[in-house]
Amino acid sequence: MRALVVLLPLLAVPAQAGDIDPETAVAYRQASFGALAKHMKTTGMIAKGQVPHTGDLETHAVALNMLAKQLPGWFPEGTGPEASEKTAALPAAWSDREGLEKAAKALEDASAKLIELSKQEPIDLTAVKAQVGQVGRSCGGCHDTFKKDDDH
Amino acid sequence: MALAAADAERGAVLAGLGGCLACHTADSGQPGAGGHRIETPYGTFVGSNITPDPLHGLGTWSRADFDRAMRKGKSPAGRAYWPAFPWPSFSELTDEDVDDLWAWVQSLEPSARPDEPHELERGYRGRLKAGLWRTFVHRQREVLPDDESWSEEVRRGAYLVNTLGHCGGCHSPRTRLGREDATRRLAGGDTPPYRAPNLTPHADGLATWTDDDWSSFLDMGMLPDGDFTGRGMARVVNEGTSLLTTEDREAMAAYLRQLTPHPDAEPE
Ligand code: HEC
Ligand code: HEC
Ligand code: HEC
Repeated sequence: MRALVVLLPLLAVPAQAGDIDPETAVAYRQASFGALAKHMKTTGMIAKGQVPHTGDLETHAVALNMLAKQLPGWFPEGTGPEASEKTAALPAAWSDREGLEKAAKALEDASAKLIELSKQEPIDLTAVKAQVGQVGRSCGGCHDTFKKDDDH
Repeated sequence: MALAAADAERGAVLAGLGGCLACHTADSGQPGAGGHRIETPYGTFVGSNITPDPLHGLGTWSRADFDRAMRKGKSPAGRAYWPAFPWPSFSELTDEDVDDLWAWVQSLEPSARPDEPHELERGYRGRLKAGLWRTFVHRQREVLPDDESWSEEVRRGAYLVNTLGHCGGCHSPRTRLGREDATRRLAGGDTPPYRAPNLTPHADGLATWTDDDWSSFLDMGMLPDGDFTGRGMARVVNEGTSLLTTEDREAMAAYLRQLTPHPDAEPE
């Protein structure tokens, strides 16, 4: 009983890096990658001229760029396939931390170019579209090494 | 001569879609100098040096030699090529495209890199086997005869997908003899090292893909959910489909969307 009384206040302390449960960490990581994908989808629609919202381009590009800097932090120790069945991340994301950071940097650099292009007046959508493809290569490039092949 | 230069440029785009450099360049090697290793169930094939070097490349070849290699699968000395070189797909190339590819090959920087031998599994060694395979396969066309009902656009798309793009090289299931299974065209392939998904408009494949989804993919490599393709396919998009005209990409989509739907192949 004494032990429980002592423990309870501890449980109320907000989660800190390292002591969140792996499934929650994975859910956050996957939702964050989902956010990256949404920014890419919207940017692609604008670049192809499907929608006229060129004014949103810079916001999406900045979001991609800032999230790329946070990306390595989405992989705390103990949140890999050994701890979660839901994650598609490969053990290499932890054993080759340097490679993961390099792949995140590639996204950061490619999205920085997208920011520049989105600031230009008049906006060159053909160049934006080509750069979206380049940013996309950094996404696919990292997945090749650090993410399990989808449904196969 | 100005015309020839323009042809080589057009040839470079064709070569991009044909994936020539992907198979004929070693990792961070000189473009076209060979050395890329292609793992197959039959062994490892090594892409040859196709730069215009007189000793180790195609420097002494004529346009006719090149044509025979590309469309008939035979070397100037009459040797049959292995199907790891997708010549069965290239056999339907138009004269104009062969011309432009030849102009492009000649524009490459010559490299004196010697070819490496293929490392074949027992039972597949020897040009004789390649010859047998060639004889057998050559009787069956890789490309379906033109369908009467096809529009010009679909016909153009079929050419880009099956002949130049040889998408089936990765995306079609293979028969026991290693040829593409024409009865389940583009229904997903298991050619190592990666599985290539079913492209037919079936629920297992891309039935839900709209024209916009196809254009985003062929143009930028973007999947409908905003994720991006990788594994070999990124290169097909980057050096191939993204450099085509919008009309050509639309033609490819028009052809792909009218394919016969097939379920994924049962894993054996
Ligand atoms: C540095 C490596 C890296 C980069 C760069 C990267 N990803 Fe990922 N991505 C991963 C990994 C690893 C996973 C698997 C995460 C998991 O399941 O725990 C993933 C998962 C995903 C998912 C699936 C999310 C889910 O719901 O399961 C999507 C979508 C995605 N990424 C999109 C993108 C896009 C779009 C970009 C580029 C803008 C990108 N990724 C850049 C490594 C990366
Ligand atoms: C999927 C891989 C692949 C692709 C794509 C490919 N090749 Fe090849 N190619 C090979 C292999 C492997 C060989 C050697 C075949 C053999 O030795 O039987 C070869 C052989 C050749 C040869 C004969 C070379 C010689 O020295 O005899 C030529 C010419 C050639 N390829 C040109 C091309 C061109 C042009 C393209 C693009 C339109 C292309 N290849 C695309 C794999 C490929
Ligand atoms: C060198 C082999 C190769 C060739 C050639 C190739 N593909 Fe692919 N393709 C793949 C692989 C592998 C994937 C899966 C990529 C991944 O996992 O990110 C893929 C993915 C795709 C996808 C995405 C499907 C999905 O469900 O996500 C489409 C569409 C596609 N390819 C179309 C084509 C077309 C059209 C061509 C011909 C111009 C082609 N491919 C040629 C290997 C290839």
